Amino acid sequence: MHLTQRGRILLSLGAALLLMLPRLPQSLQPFAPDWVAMVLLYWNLHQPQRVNIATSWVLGILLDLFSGSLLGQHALALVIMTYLGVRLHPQIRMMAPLLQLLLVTGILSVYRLILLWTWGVGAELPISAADWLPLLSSALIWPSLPLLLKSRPSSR
Amino acid sequence: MKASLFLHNNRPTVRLLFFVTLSVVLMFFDQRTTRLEPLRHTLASALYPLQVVVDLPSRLGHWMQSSLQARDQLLTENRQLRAENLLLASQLQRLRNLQTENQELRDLLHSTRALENEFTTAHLMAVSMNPFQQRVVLNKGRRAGILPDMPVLDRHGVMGQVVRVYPFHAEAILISDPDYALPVQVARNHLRAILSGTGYPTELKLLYVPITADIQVGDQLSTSGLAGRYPANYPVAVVTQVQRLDSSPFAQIMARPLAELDRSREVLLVNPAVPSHDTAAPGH
Repeated sequence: MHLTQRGRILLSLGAALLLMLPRLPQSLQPFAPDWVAMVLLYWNLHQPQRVNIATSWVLGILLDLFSGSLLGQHALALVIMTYLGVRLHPQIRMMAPLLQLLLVTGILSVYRLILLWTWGVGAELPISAADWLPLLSSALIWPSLPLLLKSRPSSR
Repeated sequence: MKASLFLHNNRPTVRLLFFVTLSVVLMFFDQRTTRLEPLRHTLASALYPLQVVVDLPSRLGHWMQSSLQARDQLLTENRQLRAENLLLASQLQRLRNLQTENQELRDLLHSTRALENEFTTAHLMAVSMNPFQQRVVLNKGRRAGILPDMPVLDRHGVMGQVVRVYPFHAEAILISDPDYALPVQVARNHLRAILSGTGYPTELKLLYVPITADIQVGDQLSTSGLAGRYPANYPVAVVTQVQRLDSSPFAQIMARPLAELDRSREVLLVNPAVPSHDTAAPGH
């Protein structure tokens, strides 16, 4: 059981990473959700002892490599997001679904904010409202994540 | 003692501080120095197969599309291409004549010889780079003779420039990237200016053009070749909007790129520095 759970985590994180890669049509690109951040945050909330800050740092470095950004940029954002997730997981798991969604969106927006902010350090960038659209799609997808990732109805 | 204490410490705050510091140090070194490039090269090359896998469905789609096309559709396309080819061939003949004539005139003037360019084709992989940057991944790398700084063109105009080269793939920055600037000239009167991206694939802006300058909507902009990176006279963009405000000494000028930045799949890479043998460097 132990191994399959770990396998499930690795598999879902790998799949999330692959989902970040394809280039979408120009009209859909702004809506591309932050798959890695979402799946990672899910595991932070449900398996905080297994999926921790080190995991998210490694994933962040992979994202940096794929996206050609400064090394450490996504890593920094994911690490801080995971910290918030792991710190708040007892409270969040007790919350009503709607409140939970609200807080999760809040944490994901912290991730985005750090990402945008670090981009601003590296380059002169116009930050527009469109940069926040992934939050919308992430919030829409979040409720369906447990269906995909949960192993059994009763968590250990 | 300290190390073991640290390694076995599960308190998230300590880990957070450690990894945040690590990330910030990495970012600092990556931005200020090139010391991390070897590391990036090794890792990115190792991860390339993943990008190939992600690109597969799109290639398969294109392959299916082309193999499922109806016969008469192919015939029509073939006929069109033949006609186009004939037209291009005849134009090429005229161009060859002009080129020889131009060369002879240059020789008469003891001027430098115009550079011959070599081309390589590549296709864009269906792999997205960062959403904040206009960047693309090409399916050819150092093994295919791609070098950093090579200009990237599509059939309509200049698309961008190669920034990083790996053994089997390369990254290119598009002219629409807000960080990118390209020296151009107005084809009509050789007015020189700097063209910069805005972050949107259909909008470019022309920087530092005085309000008194002779430029109007519809003017074609082409590379000036002044930075020495692009060959001169490749079409880049068309001016779409000129605004002259009294409050600013510079006109606000927008342009639309001629290359299909968000649609082209097949691209040309230009080897800019293939000087013909008589020494000369590109014109000053």
